[in-house]
Amino acid sequence: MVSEQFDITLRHSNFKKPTNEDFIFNIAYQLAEIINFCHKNLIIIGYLTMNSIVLESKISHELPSIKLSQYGYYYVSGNNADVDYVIGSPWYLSPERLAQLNNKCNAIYKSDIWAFGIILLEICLGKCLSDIWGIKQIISILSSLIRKTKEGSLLQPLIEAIRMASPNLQIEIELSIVSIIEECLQILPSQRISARNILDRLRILKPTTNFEIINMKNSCQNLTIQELEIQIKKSIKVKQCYERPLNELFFLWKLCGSSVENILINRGIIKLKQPPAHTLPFIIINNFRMFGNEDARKLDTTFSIYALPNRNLKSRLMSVSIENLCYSFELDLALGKRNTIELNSQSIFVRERDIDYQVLRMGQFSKLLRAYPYKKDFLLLESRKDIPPIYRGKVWAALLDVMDRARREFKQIDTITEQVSDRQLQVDIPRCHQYDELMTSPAAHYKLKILLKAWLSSHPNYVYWQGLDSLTAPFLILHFNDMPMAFGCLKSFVSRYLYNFFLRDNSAIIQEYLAVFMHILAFIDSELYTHLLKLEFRPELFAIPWFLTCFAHVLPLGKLMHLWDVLLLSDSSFGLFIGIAILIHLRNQLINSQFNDAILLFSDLPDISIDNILINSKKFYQDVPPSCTYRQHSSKFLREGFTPLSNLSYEELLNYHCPRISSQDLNKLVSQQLVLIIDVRPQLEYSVYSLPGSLNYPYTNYSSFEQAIQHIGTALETARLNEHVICFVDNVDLNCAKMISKECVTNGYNRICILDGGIKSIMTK
Amino acid sequence: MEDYKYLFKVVLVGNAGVGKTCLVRKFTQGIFPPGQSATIGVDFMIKTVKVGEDKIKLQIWDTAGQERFRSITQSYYRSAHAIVLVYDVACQPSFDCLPEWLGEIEQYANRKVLKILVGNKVDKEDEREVPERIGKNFADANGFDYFLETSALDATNVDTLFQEVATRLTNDMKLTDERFHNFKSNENRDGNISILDRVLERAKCANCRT
Repeated sequence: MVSEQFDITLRHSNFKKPTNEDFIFNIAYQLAEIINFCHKNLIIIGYLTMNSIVLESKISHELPSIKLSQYGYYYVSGNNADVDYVIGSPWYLSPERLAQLNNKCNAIYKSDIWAFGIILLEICLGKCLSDIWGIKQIISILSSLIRKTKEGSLLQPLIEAIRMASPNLQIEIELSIVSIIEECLQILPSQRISARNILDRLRILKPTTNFEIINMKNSCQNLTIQELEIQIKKSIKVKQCYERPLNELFFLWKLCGSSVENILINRGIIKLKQPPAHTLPFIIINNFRMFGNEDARKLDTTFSIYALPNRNLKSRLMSVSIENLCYSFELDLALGKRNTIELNSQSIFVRERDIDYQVLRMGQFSKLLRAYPYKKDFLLLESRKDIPPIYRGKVWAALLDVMDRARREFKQIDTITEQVSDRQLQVDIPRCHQYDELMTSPAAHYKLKILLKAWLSSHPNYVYWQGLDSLTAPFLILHFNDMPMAFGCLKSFVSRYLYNFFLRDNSAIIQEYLAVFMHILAFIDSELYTHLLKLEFRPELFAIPWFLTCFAHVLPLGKLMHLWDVLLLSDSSFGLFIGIAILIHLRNQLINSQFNDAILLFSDLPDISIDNILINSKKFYQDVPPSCTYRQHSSKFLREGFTPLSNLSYEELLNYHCPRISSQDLNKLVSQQLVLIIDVRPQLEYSVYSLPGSLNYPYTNYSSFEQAIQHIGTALETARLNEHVICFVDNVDLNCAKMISKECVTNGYNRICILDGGIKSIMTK
Repeated sequence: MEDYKYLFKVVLVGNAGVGKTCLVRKFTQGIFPPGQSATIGVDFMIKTVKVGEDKIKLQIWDTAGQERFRSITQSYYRSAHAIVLVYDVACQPSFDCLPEWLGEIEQYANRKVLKILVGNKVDKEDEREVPERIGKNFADANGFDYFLETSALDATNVDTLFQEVATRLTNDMKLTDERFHNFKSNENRDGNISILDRVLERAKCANCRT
């Protein structure tokens, strides 16, 4: 467990000397506050000793402020369930824990209060119980005292025992404190006082001490603006202003190349059992159940604290420029620097390991997240560059607009009752993203199940489709300790990007999606489209796992995160373009392959460069007119100004070999002079009404494309060279446009589309 | 353009988690992938085997097991030469679903398709829920051409299974070829080519797609 550490613990401080009343009250109050905070957050500390209390300020301070370390051991070990040793220190074990020492030795909230009482006693004595008694002694002494006393407080018997053990020790405790310790050392947990009540008692006992002020020593509340300015200037000079949360620093520490495991192994703190062959079990059966030689495989843990070296990080941070350390959006604005999206040309994987860059980005994003939702525009803008890994979970939640409502909803969902999908979940969860270490843990399996069950029961119209597990995993990983948030993200994600994909009968949605996907492929790369069509290599054979899971089932999590970083900034059509980008990425292999090679290519998707995919999918997303991606089954999460098309059945869609475009989008293209419009209606109709600048070439059942090329070939070639869109305008039935567009696509013309609704759609406007 | 005599399409079906993908991977790549993720839609593998002197290419369609995908998987049965129906011997429910799968096969697959029943995961002997005899009886009673118990984990019968599929299909195909040749030589005597002739020719070409 990695946490912030301070050099001096209460035990090692010279706490014997200033055992004046204020000192004791000060420590007691702070510690009680800490315990109360933990208990309010449902954390049992379990391991609470003099050693785990650290002093934040130097001991010379009259009233030091303290912090508690090692408070999470008991909690992270599943309340002692995941380890087979006791998490607790013998001198601080409460009667109820001592009673089951050989069994589970479970702690309860009140066990922490007992430890608190012992600590308070030790402070008053100026001596630790461990200085008086050894492990065996303390356990037998406590056991016999408890047996003798039966109920009530153990304080007096304990003091007598201490007197017997060290007669020279002066024991003088102030009465008010005695009364508190007494209540803490009640043998029956039910009679022990709670942390909250301790706080109340302390406030009543010492109404004159303003406890709150203690914690504000460092705050600048009482400074004038001028004083504040001086302080800031001073701190900037010595780079003191870089005070960052521990998670950021630990992330940077790792980026410096350090690894906790290696350091601990090299220093002999973790001992690798040598040779590993000796740890093998005698027999393994079934699902790797191991028997024999258990002791050799047992994990030994100590509760000691080791300081990780941070010289590298410190010196590295000294070399980071002040602009990166203390970035300010306001300053940039004030200085008139325009916040442009200057895309860093380095690969995203390189950027994520660049310390200078990450320092800057973490600072920026932690500010933007704190300002959320007020600075959402800024957040979106910055996210377009990239998202720092350490804040990805929070940024995603912000981008997905996860509301407290969804989080509250999670807490009210019944995830225990058996559901129809349980059996399938049992089969699927143990094989979901199992190359990822976290995902192989029993905790991850459990949480994934709860998340899926919660999502399913809150969406009665949806059912469990295989792949939903893969889709849920990224949110679980990013919010591993905040399931309501993971749930909120999943919920919002599906409603935006996979709307109705998980209906019991989703064929209409999937079919339409795949049809539109192929149309866009024809628009972007007609040659590849024609080739795949010829092979009968239909998207049903390869693209279902792509789109059903938004690529979560086909990409490793590392790449997926980067993909979704971009997806979450785009509308629900973006998935289509990712699919196209993958096809284009594999284009050379595909165009030269036959059916068998093609299907093999997709069954184990090769190692694709995600940077490349992202660049291309963003480009296509910009280039293709938005209405071309229209799906009647899509969610409402669409681009601003998105114009719908008329709805077609799947069978009708199959008759098209290119996308349709809305009149509004066509207008836009006309105004930008980026389109060639060919009107295929009979000449007479064309002469009655036509689009300005459009060519007329009547095309019918009897026309041949060769003939057509003679007339419109030059125009088509010019459009091709200029990368203009080629739009066919027809009557409302679009039959002729369908025929000629198909010929164009087959003959390798890109950017072909048909005006939706025909000429009428323009005339009515 | 590889040289092979025939290419056969083999479709694996059966409940989710019975080990279809593992069987295919073990056979084609020699690995047993623990933690293999679920198959969505369909997955493909190809392997060439030898039957006598002939090289035979097996195009294996590994389909999604979950019931919901059936509307999608139905189209995969089309033009299959063999269908391998897999259940898990340590999972009675996967056996109980066999009649449903048979219904699907009858409805969507070619009438003359080679049908094979496979009980997988025999390595889990102490968790076995379906005795071999029961599986065999089911196969006999329901017109399967072949029944076999396998384990993708320890490779029991995996190669045998696919070798058997290839051998049977090859023999069938050779028989058809022979008949066709005899027929053709008879026909050719009077110099006519019938429609049937052309259809057979085309079918052959489709099967030996290069």
